[in-house]
Amino acid sequence: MKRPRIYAILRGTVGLVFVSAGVLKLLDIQQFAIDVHNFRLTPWSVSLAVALYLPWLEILAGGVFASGWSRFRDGAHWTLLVLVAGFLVALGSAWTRNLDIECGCFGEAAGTTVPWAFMRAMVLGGILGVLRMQRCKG
Amino acid sequence: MRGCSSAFRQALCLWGAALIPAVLSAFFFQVEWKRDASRVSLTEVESWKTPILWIDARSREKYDAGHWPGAIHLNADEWDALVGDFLAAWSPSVNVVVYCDSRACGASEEVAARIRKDFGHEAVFVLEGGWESLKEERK
Repeated sequence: MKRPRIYAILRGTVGLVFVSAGVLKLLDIQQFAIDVHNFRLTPWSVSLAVALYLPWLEILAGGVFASGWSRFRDGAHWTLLVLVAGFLVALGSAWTRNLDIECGCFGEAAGTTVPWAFMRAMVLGGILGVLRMQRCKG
Repeated sequence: MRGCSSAFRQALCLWGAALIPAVLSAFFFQVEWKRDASRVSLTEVESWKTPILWIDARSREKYDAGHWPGAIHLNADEWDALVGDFLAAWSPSVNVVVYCDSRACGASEEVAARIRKDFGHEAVFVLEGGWESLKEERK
């Protein structure tokens, strides 16, 4: 398989992962707000605002990234990188404080623990980084 | 769309565009902005004159190993099986206080939200510190 095709498949897969994560969170906003609040990083009103905003940003950026829409592709790419960086900070913080909480990354569907979610975010960030480097070279 | 040329501007456009459905969904889902008021400390609970119904939202094993005197076992995983016990003990005049393991766990938040939603009972509170704080109190 040619490299550009592999990159396109990776881009589509990562984008769809974000879209599905956003959709699953939207299925129960209140629960996602609780999951955010359980990280003990923000007051309730901010946790709720994050829970309302984040899924839509994931859907929008993930969708644009997966589709490869050239007008917004780079912006979507950077957005996803920033999101992953934010997830890593939040998850790393929860991990170091030994919080026994649900990640909430994929709504209630996954029930992922913090260490596992941290590893998954690292993988996603790695793939996004590789795609970024490939884009810069291209 | 002409302004959305550089990656930074593209990102700003996406972040701005995501605000629109986010604001709309805030109205659609009728979220509880003031929910923090429902978190209470043990000291606050002890100062209440209102009857209290304690809810233990931990697992069956942990509940059986030890729970607050009079606490009813109710959690999201076994909701259907346990909700009967809750209803038998509940009355509209009580303050419901839910606890789980510790400050970090989210089970009590989930149970409290469900009681509010399913039974329309507003006086539902989550105990800060959970079972850990209750154990300290018992010492």
